[in-house]
Amino acid sequence: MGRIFRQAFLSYKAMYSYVNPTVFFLMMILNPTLQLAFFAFMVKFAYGSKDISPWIIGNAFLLASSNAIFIIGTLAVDERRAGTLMVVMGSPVNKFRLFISRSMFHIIDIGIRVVIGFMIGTLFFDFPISEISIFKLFLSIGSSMLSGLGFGLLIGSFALIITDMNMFLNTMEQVLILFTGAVFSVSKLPTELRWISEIVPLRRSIEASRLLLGIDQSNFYHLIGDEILISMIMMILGYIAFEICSYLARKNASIDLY
Amino acid sequence: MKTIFRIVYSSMKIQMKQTFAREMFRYIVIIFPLFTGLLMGFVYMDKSTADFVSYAMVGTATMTMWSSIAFSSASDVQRERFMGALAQIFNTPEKFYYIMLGKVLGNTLLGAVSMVISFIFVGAVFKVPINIVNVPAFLAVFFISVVSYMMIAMMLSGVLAVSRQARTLMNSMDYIIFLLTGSAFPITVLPIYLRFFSYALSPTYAIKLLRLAITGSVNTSAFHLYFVGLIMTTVLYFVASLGLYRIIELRARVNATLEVI
Repeated sequence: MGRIFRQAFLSYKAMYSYVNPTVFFLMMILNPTLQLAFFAFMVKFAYGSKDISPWIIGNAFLLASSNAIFIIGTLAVDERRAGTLMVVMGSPVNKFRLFISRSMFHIIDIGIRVVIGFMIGTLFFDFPISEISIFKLFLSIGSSMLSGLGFGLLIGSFALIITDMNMFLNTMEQVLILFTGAVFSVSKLPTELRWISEIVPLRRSIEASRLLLGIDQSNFYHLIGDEILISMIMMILGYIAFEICSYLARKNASIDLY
Repeated sequence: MKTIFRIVYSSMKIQMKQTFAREMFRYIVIIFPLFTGLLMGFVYMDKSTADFVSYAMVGTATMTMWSSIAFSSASDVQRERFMGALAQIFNTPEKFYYIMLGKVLGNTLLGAVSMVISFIFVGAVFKVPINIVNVPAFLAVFFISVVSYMMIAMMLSGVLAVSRQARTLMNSMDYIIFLLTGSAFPITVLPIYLRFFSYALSPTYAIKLLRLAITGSVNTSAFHLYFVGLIMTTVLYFVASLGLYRIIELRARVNATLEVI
């Protein structure tokens, strides 16, 4: 356990140690504020509604996606860039577990970002935080953290065989923005594309949190359960993908190729 | 003058060749415009055709252009740094400004292509006819807007050259511009204290002018006012970018952070 914690802390420190407090502020506060504000003003104008709370929820959860994709998803890429990926892959430890442990602090980061999103929504966009169950809200934030971990590990596995991950990761971010229903209702999607929104992470966490604004919350735990199930499936798929990709990377000698 | 053109052209040519060799190029020029177009299209699909064209189509096009320039210019500096080539470019006998101008020009041309792709794509997918009432005015505004975006990119690339946090700063630049320039909604939706910043940014005028040119409202005082605003901010950015590069050339030598990753 101590080793896992040390790995997690070192990974987090390696990611942010070069960043000065101003830039850390930019990343943790200003970026989420701007992203949330942009989507909030857009839906306010586009939908002409005064109550944009459901969209604040969607976009607060969307803030989690960038951590899941660009930090957890790039753990292997960063190792490659530092020239240490081959050492990691050659070590006798369970590599998938190693990457999970390195994601630990980043997962907490995901939760903090979502909370920041809700705080921004409350401060600037009259999000009725006092009217909703905080316990249930944290439950849905927790499920989104798990989802982020599963998704990040799954897509991050492909870093072992893809030399330019930027395109893949950015595309995945766009997929989440489009199919989680954070910015527009998934019912607007053509029927042929709706299945994608059924399998993407975060959608059910968003939907569950939106239920908290209404009276009928009977579906809440069902949605949270589904989200956790999806995150577990993603982790299993992530493990399988990692094993296949590491085999292919060794076979094709592409571990250090970039 | 001929020498300057040669430097800019050579730098642009290398930049574009390097870009074509990267997979990320496909994301910037094709995938990002398509996804952003779909997102904006779905958000605005229930609005009037005029609103759809103004916000979904023009919005997607300008957002695409901005992302292309901001991401490319920032990541180019970062890439050169990782390859160990930034200091060498910096120390060549030719001015660093002209070399970077060539790079930015290359990115801008690709950005303009993605802008056109997104504009046509959104119109085609959501079956909204593209009807530009005043084509010459639209093209003139488009050209000046591209120059203006280039000047912003020049300022950004210079700042990022001396900053170790280029990658982080790069990700902060998207939404601040999308938000303040009214690319996806009119800036009147913003609180009044934020609008002050909007008018200091040339994309605000460019977006307004493109919308007016599409609707054919070019002989209005608003069009003339925004046109003056676009020209003035562009000239201001040009002068600022020149000054900035002088400061940067000095700071890079004093702080010696050009190659610090």
